[in-house]
Amino acid sequence: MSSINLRSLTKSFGPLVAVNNLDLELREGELVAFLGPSGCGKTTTLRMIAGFETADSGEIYLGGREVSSFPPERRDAGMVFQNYALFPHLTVYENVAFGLQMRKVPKEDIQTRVAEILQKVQLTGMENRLPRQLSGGQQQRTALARALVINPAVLLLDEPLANLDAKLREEMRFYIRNLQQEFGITTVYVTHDQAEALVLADRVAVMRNGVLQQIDVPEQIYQRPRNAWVANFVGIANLIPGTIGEPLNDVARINTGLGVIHANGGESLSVGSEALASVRPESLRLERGNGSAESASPTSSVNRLTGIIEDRAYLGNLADYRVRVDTDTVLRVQSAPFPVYDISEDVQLSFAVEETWLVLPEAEGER
Amino acid sequence: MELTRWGQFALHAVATLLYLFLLAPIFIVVIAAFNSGEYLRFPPEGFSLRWFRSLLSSEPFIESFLFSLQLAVTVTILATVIGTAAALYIVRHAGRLRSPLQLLMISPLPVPAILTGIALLIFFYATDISRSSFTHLVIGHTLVCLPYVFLTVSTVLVGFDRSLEEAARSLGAGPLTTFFRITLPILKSGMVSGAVFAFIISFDQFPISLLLSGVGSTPLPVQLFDYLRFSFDPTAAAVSTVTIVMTVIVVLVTERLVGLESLYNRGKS
Repeated sequence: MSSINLRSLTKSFGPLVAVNNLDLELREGELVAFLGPSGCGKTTTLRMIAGFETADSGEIYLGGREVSSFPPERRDAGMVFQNYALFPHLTVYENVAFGLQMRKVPKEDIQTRVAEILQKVQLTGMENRLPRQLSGGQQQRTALARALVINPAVLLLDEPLANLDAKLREEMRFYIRNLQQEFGITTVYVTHDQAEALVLADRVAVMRNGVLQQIDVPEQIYQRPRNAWVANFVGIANLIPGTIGEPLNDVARINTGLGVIHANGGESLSVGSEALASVRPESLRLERGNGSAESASPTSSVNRLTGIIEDRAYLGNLADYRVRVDTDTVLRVQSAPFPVYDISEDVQLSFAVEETWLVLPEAEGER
Repeated sequence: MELTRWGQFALHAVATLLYLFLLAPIFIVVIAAFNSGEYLRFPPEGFSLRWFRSLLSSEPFIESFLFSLQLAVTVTILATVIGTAAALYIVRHAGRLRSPLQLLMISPLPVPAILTGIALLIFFYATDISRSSFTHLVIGHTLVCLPYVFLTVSTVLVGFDRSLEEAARSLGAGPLTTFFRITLPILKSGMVSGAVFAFIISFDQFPISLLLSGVGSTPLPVQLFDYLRFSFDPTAAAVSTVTIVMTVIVVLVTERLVGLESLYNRGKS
């Protein structure tokens, strides 16, 4: 178990900057998910930690040791690949034993350790199968066993669940999390699936175009996104653009095309600068009527808008509405499926100020 | 696509005819070898093993058979090693030179073997690298066998998942260990198919052998040709039968050793 420390890591492929000046620290035993769309640099970063790619500049510390110049076999990093990369000509036993053989572990010890780890991943009895004789989930667990049996300093997972079907993928999230906790191993988990990142990770590092956008605990990433891009990438966000106004009683205010909206955050923003108010669809509440009464007036704790239901989608556990509040603004609202609001119906929208968050308009690395 | 009953019937009929067409000459040669008559003819005049006995007592045939075997084994080893190394370099590291180098490697295929033979003959006379016909034959045969190994190994390499090697490295294996424990075993299927081709091509090779063989170094096909020029008896058919049986054995043994199954598993996990 070791910490991982990346300092000003940069890597280009020709004219493309894959990873741009990345600083990141993983504490011992922590699981950090690298989240971002394809091409954001998350896999390249992982491959640099593993030693498959050489950084153009910057340093990589594993357990306090600078390893940039080390070949992969000297980094002591267990890796699970997206396609598992099980050796097709070796049995499950031989696959798992491979790393121990390379470490010149005595034969009897190898047998005990392989048996132990196979039991842990519930593959006892599969020792003599070839990888192609296993189901996807079994292959996945074999790959995990092979990476963990060598007791590596760090565990690197590259989209380990991407090739499983949806149901199994959800089960495996908890499974991997439990295994990681049990081993207490510092883990980098690369994924483009935001739900996976939020469920699994101690902290989520959101990346875009090689630049780290935000690193924080899952709740903060979702409720307090740093900029509009993060807000949109993680979950669904209603983003209402405007300019920052004078705060009132310590509550930030933003002047938008829909009027003044009270919000939290944005402490670093100066009056007059551009920003967006971000509200999650489940934070918006619907009520009937066009709100001519006193209920329509916003207070410093609740924002209110009026609109017309434009579309409704029934999702079983909830209903997903599109509400037009302005000629060019449509908000997404997710609420309980009942009561039902009809299309073209006038509605009032309310959302708590504490669930309204100010975000920066540009993503990191674009200014 | 679903075939109609008639369509299926037609497909089977065509396939059967095709196989008949391909195999008929072979059957005729084999049957002719068991002829009891004096001449190479079909249908045979009776059943006899006399021509096989005559073959076994013919020193030139035994000698050239052993010579061809020795030659084919040497060529197979050389072509497999060089072809695999070339495939590894060209597929993985040649970059922009990949296509031209690939063409160069398979260029012995479209050139008529007789021209390759003449070119080599002139080359050997001009450069005087070696006076041994065996060496000349090894070089000539290896040249025409290389494309087969190169192509079969390249096919495996193109579909080779490099993350297998990365996985081995991350588990603590150095580059050499990774090559011998992971890369080579996965390339095995391609190498064996290529080696089988190389062996058969060398054992069967006529045009190049004809031009490069010397006194005391006559490969079997050349010996057979010489023999047929003067005597047209079924010994020739017996020789052919032995050759055919040899080839079939080589194919069957490799099929057993490597298994057709491994061909479906080329470097994919």
